[in-house]
Amino acid sequence: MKRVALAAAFAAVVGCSDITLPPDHTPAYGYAEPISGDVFHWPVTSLPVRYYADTRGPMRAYVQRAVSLWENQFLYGEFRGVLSDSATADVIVVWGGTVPPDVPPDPGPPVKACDGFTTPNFDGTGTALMRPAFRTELNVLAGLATPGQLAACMERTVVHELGHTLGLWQEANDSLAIMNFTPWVPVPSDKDRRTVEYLYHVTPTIAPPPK
Amino acid sequence: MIGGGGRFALALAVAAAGPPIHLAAQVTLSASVGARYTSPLARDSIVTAFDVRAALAPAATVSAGLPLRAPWTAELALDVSSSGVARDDPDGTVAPITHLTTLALGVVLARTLPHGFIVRAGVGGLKYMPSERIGIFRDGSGGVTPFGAAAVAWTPPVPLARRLAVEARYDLHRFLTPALRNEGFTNSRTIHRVAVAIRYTLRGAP
Repeated sequence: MKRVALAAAFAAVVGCSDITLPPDHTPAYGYAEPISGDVFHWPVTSLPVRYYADTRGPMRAYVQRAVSLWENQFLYGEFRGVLSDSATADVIVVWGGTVPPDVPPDPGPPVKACDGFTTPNFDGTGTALMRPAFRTELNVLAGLATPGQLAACMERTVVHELGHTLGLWQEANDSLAIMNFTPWVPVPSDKDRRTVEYLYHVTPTIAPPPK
Repeated sequence: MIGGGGRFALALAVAAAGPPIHLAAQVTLSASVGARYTSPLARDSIVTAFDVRAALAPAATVSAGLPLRAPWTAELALDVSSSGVARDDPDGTVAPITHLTTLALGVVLARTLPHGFIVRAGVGGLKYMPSERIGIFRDGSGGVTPFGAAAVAWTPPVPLARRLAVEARYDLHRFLTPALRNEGFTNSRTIHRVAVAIRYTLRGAP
């Protein structure tokens, strides 16, 4: 019985001796709207954010992949996304013109074979968004890229554009970040993770669309 | 002739075949249900400080006991509890992360005391089982964690309630998930759990 008591006392001492320092959460680049300084992110009450993906070609797979990648940047329940229909979507993601072929992405060096842009949908006050809060378009650029290189470009660009829909409203000046003006990497980097994680703990100045 | 390994296998086979009848007759079975509080699983600060907590959880235990020399009993106990895990911000915002089940298997030494009290102390292994790989569990939950536990139970001196006991249990273990480690947490965190339960002796002497 003495041994049990000693073991319990030891466990209590070990239990009281931990010093857990929080890790570094400093953002790596700016996230506010560059001119107005406005800040947006989805509040907990708006989650999960509903994404509509163009039903043509591989867009649905690209958007699903991007949503999962962004969800995995967070530790503490800051962001969730789901694919939904266009009538109830918070974000619409469509092809701007040509629908590219559904082929596996080329794993080789990145080629700029596509571009995308995301437009927020402000209400009359300019301090809140209305549904759909964002419209994202992906475009095929004229050039000599192979279908695989085009697919890899689209995958990267969808992740980048969805970053804007999360509230990353600035382009990063870092070729290793997915939020670089031209995304060259396939997934968010540690710098993207730190920045978006920080953003989701800042008080926003732009309200989300009402539920 | 049976060598060392063979002897061990034989012993295992005999044990697996079931206890002798006189031992089986002495085995007590009990079950308990109650509620469990768990201290914060993680504490971090991004702009402001916040906690990640498991909600107050229903907890259930089944245990089998074998009497040793009086007043001691050895027990094998399986404990399960299940609740949501969420981030609690200082402004009152609660951000759900996932649902979590914890499973703990332990060996316990119990001692009967006067006035209907029984005290227990034990050790074992505990496993976190999140319902999905997300948030602090996005890279899994880590392995089985050792824990230490202590409990006190009291049986009211009422003939009709002699199989019932009110029990308070405490256990502690260390917690760190691979995702928290990847985030930059270097030390595991001590988790304290307290449960209050009603225990019922299903079979054998209470």
